[in-house]
Amino acid sequence: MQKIPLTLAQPGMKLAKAITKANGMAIVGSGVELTEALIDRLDGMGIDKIFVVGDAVSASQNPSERALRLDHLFRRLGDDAYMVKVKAHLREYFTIKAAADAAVAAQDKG
Amino acid sequence: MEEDLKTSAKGKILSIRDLPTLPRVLDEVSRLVQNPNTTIEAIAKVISRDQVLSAKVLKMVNSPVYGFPGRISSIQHSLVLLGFNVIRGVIISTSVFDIMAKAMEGLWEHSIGCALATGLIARKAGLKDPEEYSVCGLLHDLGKVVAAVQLPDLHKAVGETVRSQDLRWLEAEKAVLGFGHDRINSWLAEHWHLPPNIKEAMGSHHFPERAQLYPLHAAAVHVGDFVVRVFEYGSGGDDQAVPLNPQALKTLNISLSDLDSVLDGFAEDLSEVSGVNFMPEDGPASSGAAAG
Repeated sequence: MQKIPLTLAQPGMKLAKAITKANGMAIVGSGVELTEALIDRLDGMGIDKIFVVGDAVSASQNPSERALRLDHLFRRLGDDAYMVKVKAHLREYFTIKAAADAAVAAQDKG
Repeated sequence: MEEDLKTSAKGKILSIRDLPTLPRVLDEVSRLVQNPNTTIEAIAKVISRDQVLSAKVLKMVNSPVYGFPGRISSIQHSLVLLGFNVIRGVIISTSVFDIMAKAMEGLWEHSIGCALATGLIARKAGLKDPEEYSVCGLLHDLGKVVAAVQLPDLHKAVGETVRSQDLRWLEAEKAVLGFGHDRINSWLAEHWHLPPNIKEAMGSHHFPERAQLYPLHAAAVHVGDFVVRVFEYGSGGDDQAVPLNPQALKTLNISLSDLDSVLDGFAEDLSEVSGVNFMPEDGPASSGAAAG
C-alpha cells in the first residue's frame, strides 16, 4: 500500500483504503479501480491524497526489493557484529511487510 | 603541505558567498533577527517580497516532512509555526536546489528523504520541536554540494575513488581531500551563522558521539541518514549502508524495534515527498506533480 498525491494517480490503480470526506462520509470504497473519470471527480471534490495497492510509484518502497538489496548495501559491514544484527532485523521487517502486501494482493484477486 | 591543501580548500569553499544562488533576502533577514525588537511581521514581509522564494518555502513547509501538510498558507504563518531557524534552513536548501540537482544526481532526494526520516525519528523519540530536526536532516550533506561547486576537480576525483575502491563517499573524501563534508558543513554553518544545534548536527552526523552540545540532533540525523540509505531513495554519492552507531539509538532512547514504525512512516510518506522539488518547469502554483 502506498499513499500518493492525486496528481500521480493513474487509471488502473486500485484503492487500498476507502476515500472519505473530512466529515467521515465515504465517497469511494476500498478495492475500487481508478478510472480517468473517477480521478477527475476526486479532483473536483478537492481530494488530494489517496491510498493505492502496491508500489506503483516508487521502487524504493517495495519491501521485497528492499530485502533483496540488503546484502549489497551492507557488503562492507559483515565484520561488524552490531551491523549484522541490524541487517537481520531489517531483513525480518521487510520480509514481513512483503508477505503482508502479498496477502492483500491475493485477497483482492480472490 | 597537507595543511596547505586544507587551508586553500577551506578558503575556496568559503568563497561560497560568490555563488549567486543564496538570496540576498537571507542576509537582510539575518540582520533583522539580531534586533530583539523586530517583529515576525517585519521578517515575513522581507521574505514575501521575493515571490518565487516564498512559493518554494510554502511548498516545502507544507510537505509531509514537516507534518503540517496543506495548512500553511503564508510566510508569516510558517514563521509562527516553525520558527525562524527552520525557515532559514528551508530558504538555504531551496536556494541551492538548482546547483544541488546539477552537482550531484540524487543528492536532493537523499537530503529531503533524510529530512523526512530525521523528523520521524525525532517524533518517535518524543523530542520537542521535531521540525528543527527535519531541517538538520535537510542540510546534512550541504558540504558535498559546496565542494562540488567550489572544488569541481577534487569532487570528480572523490567520485572516481568511490567507484574504483568501493568506498563510501566520506571515506573517499578523506582519501582525496584529507577531510570530509562533515568538516565543510561545520565551516559553512559557522560562516552562515546557523544556530548551534543545526551546526552540530551537520558537523557530527557521521560521528554523533562527538557532539558535545546537541547530541540528540546529531544522533537523529545519523539515524535518518541510515534510514534513507536503507531505502536507497536518492543517493549520497555511493550505494552502501552507513555503519549505525549503537550509541545514537541509546542517546535517542529508542530501540532497533522502535525503528520499525519510522520505516513504516517513511515508506508511506515517500511518494508524497518525492513530489517536492523545484524544477523550473514546475510552476510555483502547481502542487507537487513529479515526473514519471
